[in-house]
Amino acid sequence: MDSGRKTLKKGVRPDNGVEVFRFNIDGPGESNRATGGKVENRNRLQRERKGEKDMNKRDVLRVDLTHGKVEREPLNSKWEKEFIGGRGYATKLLYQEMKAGVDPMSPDNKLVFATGPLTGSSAPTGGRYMAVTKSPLTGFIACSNSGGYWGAELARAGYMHVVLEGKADKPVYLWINDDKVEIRDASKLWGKDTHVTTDALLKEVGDNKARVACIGPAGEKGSPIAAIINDKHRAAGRSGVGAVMGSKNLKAVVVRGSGVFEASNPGALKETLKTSLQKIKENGVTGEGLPALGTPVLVNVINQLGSYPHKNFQESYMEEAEKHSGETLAEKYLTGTSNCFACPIGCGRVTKLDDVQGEGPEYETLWALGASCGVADLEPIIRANYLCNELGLDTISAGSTVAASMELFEKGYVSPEELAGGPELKFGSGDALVYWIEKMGKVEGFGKKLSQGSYRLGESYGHPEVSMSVKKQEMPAYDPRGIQGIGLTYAVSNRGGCHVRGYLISPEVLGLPEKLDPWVTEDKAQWGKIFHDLTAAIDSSGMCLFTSFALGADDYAALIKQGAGIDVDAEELLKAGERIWNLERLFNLREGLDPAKDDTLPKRLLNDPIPGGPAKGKVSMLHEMLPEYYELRGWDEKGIPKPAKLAELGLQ
Amino acid sequence: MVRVSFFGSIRSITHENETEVPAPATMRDLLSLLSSAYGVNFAPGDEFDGWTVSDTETGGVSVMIVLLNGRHIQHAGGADAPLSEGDHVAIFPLVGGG
Repeated sequence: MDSGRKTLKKGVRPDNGVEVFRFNIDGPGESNRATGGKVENRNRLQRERKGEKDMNKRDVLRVDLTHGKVEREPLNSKWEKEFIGGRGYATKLLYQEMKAGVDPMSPDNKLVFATGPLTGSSAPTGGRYMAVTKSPLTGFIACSNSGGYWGAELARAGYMHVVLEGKADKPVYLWINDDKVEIRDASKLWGKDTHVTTDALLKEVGDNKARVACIGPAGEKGSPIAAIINDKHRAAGRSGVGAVMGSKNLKAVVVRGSGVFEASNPGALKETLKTSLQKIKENGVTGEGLPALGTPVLVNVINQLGSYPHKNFQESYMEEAEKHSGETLAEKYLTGTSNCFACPIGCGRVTKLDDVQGEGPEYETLWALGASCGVADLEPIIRANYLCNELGLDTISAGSTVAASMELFEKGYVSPEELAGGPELKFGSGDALVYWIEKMGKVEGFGKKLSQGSYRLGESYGHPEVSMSVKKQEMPAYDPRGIQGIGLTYAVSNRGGCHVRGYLISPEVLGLPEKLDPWVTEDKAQWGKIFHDLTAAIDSSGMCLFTSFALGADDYAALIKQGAGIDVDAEELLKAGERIWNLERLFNLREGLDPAKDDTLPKRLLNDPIPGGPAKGKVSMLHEMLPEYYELRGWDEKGIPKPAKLAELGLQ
Repeated sequence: MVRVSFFGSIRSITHENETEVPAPATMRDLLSLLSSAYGVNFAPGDEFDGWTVSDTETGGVSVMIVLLNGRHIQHAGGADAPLSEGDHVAIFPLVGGG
């Protein structure tokens, strides 16, 4: 049944040629329990309150995989105002509905595919979705953000969020075709990689315009560093969200939607879109650097600063980095660029190796699979990157885990016999990288240990210190000893080691919005707090963080208000970001977060000076930033939000 | 000699990845020398935003990042930073990512 199918209206076509569709302002969907895994929203058209510009435009789809039931619920408009959507709204939902101490891999964990109010709109880069759940890697909140086209398709189908509960008794996939929702058998796809799965599902649903988000073998077998891959090449990569999907026997979510977006205030939005696109176009990073060079061009920049972690952070400058730089990638393997939905930037890199075409590697991946493992040449890095996408692994954690295993091997903690004939785990070995990434993704042999991530791997040998992680999640591609502020972000990030909870590289390296000295700690706590709050709000909006090189809080607030009808100004948006950050903190504290133990960096970064290169002698001075950060946050000296702060944010 | 490395789109201007020049007195002098050598205008600025490379034919202007021995030039003395034998200067276009 297809009663709610909406007519596709002609959209606008921004500069990049990506067609942007608009959504109807629908009334709130009724909670509609159906049997047999189907929602048939027969009266939906009658229930649409046309012209009513309230916030209940899209619904929440709740899927009980244990009992095969699907419900449709209205959005909570109060939560939208307070938490915007995406990351914020989903965290609120999990905090409200889940008890503390839930095993992340049990049916009691919930996984939310969350879009923002601007996902699927004509807002520049408005195509993001997030996978939010309790992480099997960290034990804390997970929120992995992805681009591509899947999120916008979900929005077009009429949903803001999909809440997945329970566990199916056999492998299944979810087929969301506008108002028609089915839980279908996926037994034949279990064990298949993400590309085979995507192709097979598109064929099965008979609509090659549908979009697929799925897991590979890594997620099926419970690797806590497993990713969800959508549109074949885009990843909700971090914190093991793919493993949670696998624990529910859910192979994929396939989406097709036909809705159109109508702005709350079309006239005002048109002007705001014009100025926002202009700012993005005129900005050096979003208008020139990223479109022309993508993220890989950072390899040489960060290496020349001497803050490019090498050999599992044992060094921080790689003599041969040029070999896998963005410049070399462009010269030898680049075949084109790619844009996500409604993106005027187009940072995606399309590459080809032998006869295989893929996307990436991006900067973080080049580092994790390259410098971190001591591998200079691009070919094995590209090959390993493709494998990560196909097998469903987070490239940052996967590369860092191989790097940790190489350190374990070279120090004699892992014996050659354990490798059962596989290549020796020596820094610099491209053969070992490719071989062991495949074993990791397939969770086979020694790959089983690797698939657990660097912390559990190191711990199993009595050497967790080789894990370059925070809260058990591997850190990205910037050495906090040479770039102090990013170390603060790593340490306090609610999802563990992460750079995109507050990208202080922007002021510390790029000089945007102003240049800060990366070697000093002064003012970094203040900058960190602002970046963390704004990032939480941007993530929740459904726009890409890269726009923040060019746009400010007032731009985002205007887009959210005029586009989605959520009445926020810049100050309220930042307050929403602060509220989201604090709620994530409360979630983690409820799950047993110990700030003294968890808000820190690996001892190597606190105690061992960088041994050579431009930042020689530097260590992280986190202790100079953390107390100030807590104070600015309105938290006590132990890192616990004070009652007054919680009351101010409505979180008491 | 001072070693000067070029990265990203700067290479499409210089058509080489690296050069060596006798050590000029200051960073400002080095940029003048490079401007003459490559037929473009490498311009220092007092502010971060002021460091640009412009194509004298097309008029196109790009912001650049300049490092002196791995330190951003703004934290290494700016345009008047003295240069010495063996120094390494790296010039990038403004890039970003994550």
